[in-house]
Amino acid sequence: MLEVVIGIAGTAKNTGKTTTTAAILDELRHRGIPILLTSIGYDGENLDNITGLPKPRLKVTSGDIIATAEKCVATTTAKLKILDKTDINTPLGKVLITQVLSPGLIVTAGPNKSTDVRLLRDLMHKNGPGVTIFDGALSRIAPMAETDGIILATGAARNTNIPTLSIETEILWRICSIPYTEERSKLTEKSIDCVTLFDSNFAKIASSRHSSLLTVQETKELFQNFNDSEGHLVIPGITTENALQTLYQLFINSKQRLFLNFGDPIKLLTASNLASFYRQLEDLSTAGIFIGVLRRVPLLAVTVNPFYPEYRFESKTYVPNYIDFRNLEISVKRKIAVPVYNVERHGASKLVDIILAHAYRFEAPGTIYFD
Amino acid sequence: MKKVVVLAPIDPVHDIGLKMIGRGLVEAGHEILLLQPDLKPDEIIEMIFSREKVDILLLSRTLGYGVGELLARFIDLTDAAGLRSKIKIGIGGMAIRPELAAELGFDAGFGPGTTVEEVICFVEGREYRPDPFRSKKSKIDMTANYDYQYLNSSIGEKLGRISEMIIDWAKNKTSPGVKRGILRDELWDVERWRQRLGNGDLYNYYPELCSEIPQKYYASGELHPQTRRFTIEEARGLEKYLEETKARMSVLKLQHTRKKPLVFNQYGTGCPFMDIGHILASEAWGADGVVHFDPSWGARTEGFLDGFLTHQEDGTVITPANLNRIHNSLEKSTLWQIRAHRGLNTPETVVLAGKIGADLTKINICYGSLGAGTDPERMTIDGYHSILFAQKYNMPFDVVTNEELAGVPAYKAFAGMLIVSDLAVRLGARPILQPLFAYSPEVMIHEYMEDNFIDFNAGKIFALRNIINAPIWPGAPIGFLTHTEDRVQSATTTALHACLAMSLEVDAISIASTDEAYSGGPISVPAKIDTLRAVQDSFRFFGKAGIHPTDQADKYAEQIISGVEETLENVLAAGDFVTAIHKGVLGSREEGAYPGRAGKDTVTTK
Repeated sequence: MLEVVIGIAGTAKNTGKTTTTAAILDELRHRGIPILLTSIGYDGENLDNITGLPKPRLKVTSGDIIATAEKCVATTTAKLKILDKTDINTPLGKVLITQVLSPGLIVTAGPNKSTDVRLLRDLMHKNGPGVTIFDGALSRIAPMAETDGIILATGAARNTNIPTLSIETEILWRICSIPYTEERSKLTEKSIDCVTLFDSNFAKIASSRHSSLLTVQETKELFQNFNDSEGHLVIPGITTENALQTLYQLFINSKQRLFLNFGDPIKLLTASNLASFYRQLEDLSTAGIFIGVLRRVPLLAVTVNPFYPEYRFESKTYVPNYIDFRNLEISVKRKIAVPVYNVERHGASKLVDIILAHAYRFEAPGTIYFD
Repeated sequence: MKKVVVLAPIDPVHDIGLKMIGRGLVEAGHEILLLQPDLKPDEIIEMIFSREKVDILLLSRTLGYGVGELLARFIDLTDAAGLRSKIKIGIGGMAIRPELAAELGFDAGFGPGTTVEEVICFVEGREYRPDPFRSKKSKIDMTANYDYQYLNSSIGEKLGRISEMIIDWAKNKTSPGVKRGILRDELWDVERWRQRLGNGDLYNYYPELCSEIPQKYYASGELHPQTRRFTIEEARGLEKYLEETKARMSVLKLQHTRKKPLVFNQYGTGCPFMDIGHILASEAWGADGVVHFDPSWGARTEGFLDGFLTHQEDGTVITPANLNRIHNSLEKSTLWQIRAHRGLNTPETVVLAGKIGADLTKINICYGSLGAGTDPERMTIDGYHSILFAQKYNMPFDVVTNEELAGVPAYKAFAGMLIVSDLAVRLGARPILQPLFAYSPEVMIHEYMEDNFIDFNAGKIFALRNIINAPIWPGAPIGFLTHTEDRVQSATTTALHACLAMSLEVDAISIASTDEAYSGGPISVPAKIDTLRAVQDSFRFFGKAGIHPTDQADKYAEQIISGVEETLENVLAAGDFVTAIHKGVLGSREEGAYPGRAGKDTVTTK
């Protein structure tokens, strides 16, 4: 009786998110593990909005729990029983939680905001144990913060330059590997919504009005009255290179120590220039700043896809093209310490092993604990 | 309730749209903060955080490069920053389509053509209803204000004598085409057929009046070689397509401050499914009416096939099912013309059109005989009965003069058109005059358009107006022989001819797609939209202003009127209308008009 919530995130369209999801679903089904499926937003149904190329639709079978929008329920070829109607709105109607009665193809359209993803995750939980999959849409990453771990689909559609792609993947992996902060339990029990600075005894020194630390001025203001030997700064939202640079300058010549705590690693992945942002983050350690996260969202595995849609000017259409797969695979594998797969070549058996390794005991919603 | 709206261009330079929207929002009582172009996404978020309260963020993006990834990253950033659940975010601009915005997770997406009102509705959380005056169209009867009185009594008197001659000639004559028309009229109950209760006794008598292809079909089910039935999946696909497209389309109006002319578009790709797609595009881009083009082989075949059929040739096969499917797809405001004018099925086409629900048809005995290959005697008797059916089914019809394209001078084509019109009025029908706006062979030879394309076309309208008070619908299409393979050039000449028609206050025009003459197959929807948009903006450009022909237009008008009168005299001198056609009075072999042969010797005496 295990459960786990997995996100399949793509670095771009056509990196193989849906193919990866389909392969994982097949493998889960083969092992008799219950499936709960939905998506972050939706994938423009059959046709890719930008390239016009057809996309695979997901096969579902009897017993699967599917959360998708009303209009998608109307167009599915599977027979569905509606279990619950949520208040989550999408452009294709409200999200319905359904159970598949007879097999068919389906398009999933789920919530596209983190708050709604959290809500749906809790609602799906009521349907029992199993593997919940949030299939990604386009390169949306932020809502993946609400999952227990992500599988990243990347490849030539993101960048046809293999070294660049490998370095980018490495940074993604490194950010997802940022460890838990040491004093996590003390901080999480405070339910912090705004950027807040605590002293060494976890007493609040200063806080800002919102969740993100963006400017030099805001950063400096936070530390105006900071004179303890050690501080804990919590940033539940996002931050910028400017803010990080300011922290560096504040601490590089100081004996004070700072524990910099982010809400989760996914927030950091939204930086506009990930490479320079990560360099800035690394530099902080030389200034005595320790970086951690309050909630881990580990990168479980990476799938690589050599396919990319190439634009042909003469016909004004996209045509399929490929980069060298072996070179791509080896190059990415050298950079990261999580498994790299191509589901079309390797299948999804090992991917599912990894997913299940991250599963935890299912707790029925009605479970009562006695102290 | 007053909203605080941040307007941010995510673009290096473009922010005109946002400025216009900003002005509209201020006028509607909202507070705005318009940010400068080229801010980085985190700078935009910083600006929002710096305000006490922001309700809505409106972004714009004009450049299309990498727009999907850029916007996904932006929306991710707002989500990660905790803004996404607090404010509504809309995106608009040339690079945006509502579908893409929805897929990326924006609350709204505004593509090209969005109105300021639409955005205000989004800001205020109201449902957007397009201006009802813009989209509420209704059918207009272009014959309503005309009494068909002659202003030139001499021409009127001659036409009267010719009509009597034709009416007298037609007595006791019939043809297989007329008989099929009568069968379809008397034995076929369209409502029963629609309820799938069959065709009554029709097909007990019908096949024997048909030529080989339909006979084979009624005997064994064998279809015309280029023709096939739609599959059930295709028919279902059509229904789904219609349902989905209708749900998200609206209709435009092309006219700006004038009411006239109505604008017609033709369709006839060979495939009714594709036709329906073309019709929906015509409607969505503002056409007031659509014209059904039948295949040329159909015009030379006695009798119709049956069933929901498609083929890969010019024109779309006329069958009850094909017409019915098309009829069901039409917007309520769309005028529907089924042309019947030229072939061996003219009377039955009019009956079918009338029963299935067409608003207009197209009949011309002279063009059918001289330009479309039907035997003059046959075309005359069939045309005569077709007019009677058009009267019975209350369908006005245009009398086209496309024999001009073969080289017949305008005055002769006009004489033929007026003969058919006069006959129609006497039989109680409502004809519409259809002069060509064309760079015709006659014009080229005589250099009538050496200086401009205005005077001769205007002269035609002046001539007709000096003869009779009747509706005028230049076509078909306007600008014939002025188009080239270059789509912009074609759209321009069509639009200019449309403006001339508008300035002359004619009742309607037919316009071609920009690839109509050069498509090498079915025309395409983008090419159809080319001319509809060109005409719409040209109407907008002129408003109530107009085009002024030179004095030469009046001279051409006089020349045409005297030519018409002389031609009518020659018809009377021939003593018989059919004989006059054979003699070349209404268009001679030297001019390029050849009396047709299809249906020769099929006219019989009752």
